[in-house]
Amino acid sequence: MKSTELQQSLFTAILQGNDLALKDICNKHADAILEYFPSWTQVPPAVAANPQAVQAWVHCLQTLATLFESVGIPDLMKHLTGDLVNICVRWQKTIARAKGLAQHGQYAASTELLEGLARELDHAQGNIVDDYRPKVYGLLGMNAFHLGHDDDAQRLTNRALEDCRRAGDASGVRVYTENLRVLAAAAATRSTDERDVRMLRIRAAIARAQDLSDDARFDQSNDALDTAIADIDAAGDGPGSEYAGKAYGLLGLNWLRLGDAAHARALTTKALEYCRSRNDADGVRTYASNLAHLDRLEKLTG
Amino acid sequence: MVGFSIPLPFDEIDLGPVASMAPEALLTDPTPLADLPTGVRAAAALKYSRAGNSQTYDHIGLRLTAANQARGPVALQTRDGVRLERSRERKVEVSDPIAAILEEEQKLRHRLFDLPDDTGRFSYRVEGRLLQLQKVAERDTETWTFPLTAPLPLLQKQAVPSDAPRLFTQQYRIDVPGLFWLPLSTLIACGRFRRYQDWRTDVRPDTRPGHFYGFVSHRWLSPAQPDPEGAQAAFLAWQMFAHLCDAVRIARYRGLDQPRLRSLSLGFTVGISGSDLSESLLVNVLRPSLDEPLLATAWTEARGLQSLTEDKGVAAATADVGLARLQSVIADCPTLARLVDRIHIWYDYACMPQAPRTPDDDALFRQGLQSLVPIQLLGHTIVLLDETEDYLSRGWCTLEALVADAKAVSMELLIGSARKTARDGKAEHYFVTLLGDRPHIVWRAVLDTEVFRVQTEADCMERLGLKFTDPRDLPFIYQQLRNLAAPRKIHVDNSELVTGAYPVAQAADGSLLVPMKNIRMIQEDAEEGDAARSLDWTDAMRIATAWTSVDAVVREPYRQLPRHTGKRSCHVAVIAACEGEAVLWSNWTIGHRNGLETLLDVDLRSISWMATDIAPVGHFICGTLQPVVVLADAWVVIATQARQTSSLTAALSAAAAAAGVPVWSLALDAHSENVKLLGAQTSSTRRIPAADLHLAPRTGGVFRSALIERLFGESQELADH
Repeated sequence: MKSTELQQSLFTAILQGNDLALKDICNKHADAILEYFPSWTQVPPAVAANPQAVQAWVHCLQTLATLFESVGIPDLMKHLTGDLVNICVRWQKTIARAKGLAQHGQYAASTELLEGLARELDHAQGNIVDDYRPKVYGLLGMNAFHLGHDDDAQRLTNRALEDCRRAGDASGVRVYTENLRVLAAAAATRSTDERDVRMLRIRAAIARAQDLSDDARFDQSNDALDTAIADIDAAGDGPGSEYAGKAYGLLGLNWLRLGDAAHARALTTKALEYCRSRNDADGVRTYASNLAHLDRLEKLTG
Repeated sequence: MVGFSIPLPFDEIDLGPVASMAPEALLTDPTPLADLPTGVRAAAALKYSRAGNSQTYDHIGLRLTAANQARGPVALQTRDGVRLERSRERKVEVSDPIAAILEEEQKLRHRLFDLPDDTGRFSYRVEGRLLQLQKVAERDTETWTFPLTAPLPLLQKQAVPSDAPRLFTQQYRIDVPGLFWLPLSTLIACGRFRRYQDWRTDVRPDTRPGHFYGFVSHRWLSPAQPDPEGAQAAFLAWQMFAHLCDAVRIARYRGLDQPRLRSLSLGFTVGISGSDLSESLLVNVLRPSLDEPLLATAWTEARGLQSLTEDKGVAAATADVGLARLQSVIADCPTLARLVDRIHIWYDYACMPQAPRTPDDDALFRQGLQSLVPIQLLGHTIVLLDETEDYLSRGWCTLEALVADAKAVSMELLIGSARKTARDGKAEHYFVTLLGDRPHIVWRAVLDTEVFRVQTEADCMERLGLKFTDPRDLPFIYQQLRNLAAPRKIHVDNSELVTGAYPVAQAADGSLLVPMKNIRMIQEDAEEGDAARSLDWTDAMRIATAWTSVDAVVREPYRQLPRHTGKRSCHVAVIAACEGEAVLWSNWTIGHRNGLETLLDVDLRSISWMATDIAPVGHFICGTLQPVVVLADAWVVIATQARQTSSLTAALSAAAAAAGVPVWSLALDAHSENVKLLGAQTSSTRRIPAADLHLAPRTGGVFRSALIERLFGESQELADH
């Protein structure tokens, strides 16, 4: 079996969790694996362009090396020693340890670990670095939040968000956008400004409406949303207006559950418009999908 | 008090720096555990678990969990573990407004109506009433949330009717000596609980169809008065009323006669539904007494009270000790009031004569005491919960919770006091997780006392951490716990400790068949002539019927037995939850071998036992795991129904079947049609030369996660074979 073919078979078995196939290939091609393995530690350019693919590649190399080591053949693990993979493993371990400390309320200790790692990452380059750096800054931001350092929390989370935007990491963008909203709301709890108070009221009303909707109390949910929308209208473009899409989207969902698809469509369309106007990519995707669902329903019911 | 309860070879295990570390430290940073050699990790965890300054089962369990690197996502839950978790939560607790903001944030995410119009595989998890879906192998790991009340069309199609059960009292009029029921309307009118002697004319001795009966399990807040402030009465009454209103809402939205639905693929209730208590009220009170016009009236009344009942009446209860407001609310709702009249509760202080008692009342009290379990089985158990760890440290409360759990009685947790955590249901969460493992821990304690005889009854209760308001209750509670059957449910996790003997089937050519992984691939054989047979060995599930004072413990997990019937040879493999249970069932099997031999036309020539223990907190007589080679014409694998289906048991059975011998499964907890011939699929097994099997015992046993590797991994070669 050729190197590429063997590598693909092995990696497929590992990523699919197919232990039987993996052991079978290892048993049949142990010598070839030992021969080709060093060449596989060079991540191909097509893979290197995608941080998730690089992680998967590294995971496969580690799994193979561990498997061979467990049966007394340390050669593969030795190949990995000292190279990029081990650096990644160390970074992963540091992040995991920092998360563990934060989960136990040891935010300062967690921050100390992460700051060291952040310094290291700031002087490194590459796709993997681009993947790890926002995670580290995001965690530092949350630690700062728990330690009461609001400005640092804002700055570090913004840094994580910008890194994710640059790397095209939609999942990261979603997480850190939410974190920034939490930070803003948390800051508002200490404010006496009417605009901040209103924004908190809007959030609370929509969250309650979501609870009621999940509990199949659609009428009550709509009542709560009406209250929220009155506040959103009063907010103009100020704090709280960013929740308009969610409020109309949930109203649409409630009316669909109550059997009024036409009303649901009008409200969902409004939600989509609000999200478009605020560049809320998640909202745009969600409500476009909901309108498509209503189209399908309409076709089914004639 | 018993001391070190694991065998001597453990003395040689060196724990290194781990020995002096507190479990809290190990849970926060388990890095030092990685320095322990792979082969002794189970032994080290066992040794560490018994080296603490307390020998209570919960403390041993906590230390064991802390010292176990292999624990899965749902490891053993102990009271000490929950205390530690609470302490951790307090450290990371954020202020109330910030907590509210964090909680709100996930509710502010946009929601889809349905899955996007594409295909693919999804992973899912259910959190409360929400289904979280995530597309497998997507680069963007977005999670989509759907409420179970409005399930995806796909789930709705697979759902089946699953109504709450009708109470026994719907079909039978039941009058148990010493049993009295308190009408909820009487409690509301009075505003607080009174002792039985003060309202004996108000409580009813019999039951009626179309009515609801609830057994209330609660803590006594003082030695003489369970509810001195009237708070329990307020919380109970308001929450019962709120659940009734919710039952009306469900009936209105779902339809009075429309059943609750359960998704077969998720194993959860889907569609509009309420709590188990609301659903039980719907089935047992609303359906027998309402028609559509009356339901509409009841809904009009209940709808107007939603601001009071939306939180199940908890806030209203907090401000209504004495129940004056509830009295006034019900007075304005005649239809709901008539439904309230059909609800009855059993609350010990109010329904059994209290001290000081006359001789007649004392007799009545003793009758009631003897009927406690039957009373609980008649109705719906309602746990009035305030403090989980304290509730489960009370002898009576533990007994009541375990009876409800063992007998599969419907159980509802109600909030029992005004507490900060009521909003997020933390106490209820901890109660449910603790109750998952409580039966296993109590069962080990009883086995230690009865089978291994390493402690007295009083030691047993002390090591369980059970307290009694009246110490004279201890023997009664102990006897009731002793009377409970072995838990039928199993808890599967990587942290299960496997000890005893792992039987390996030898084929006719001398080679051995071993599993390649713990996987369930075996199918029951449905061929004609192999229909399920019946052997009722359910008595083996109880100490009272399976163990006597003259029974002796045999330490060896594998025994050859003398020739008996001269027919084809048979090996019995007992797969139990712990070593005590394994010993109990092995003795039972040998003592009752005639029945099995006759049923299957075999001669029982050898027996092995293996314990796969999620709560290895009890006494060990073996403490090692050793493969044993078995050459027999037939096998019988004995375990509970649930354990028969576990991947570990199934893999062992499949390997035996792959050797070409008939393998029977015997479900010990089923009365009939419980002996089944299994058909094999060999794809998960492999054949190895007998010389490749390392027969040496693995000291400390092996954690489930490493079982196949530690037993059979040594013989795997990276070469063609």
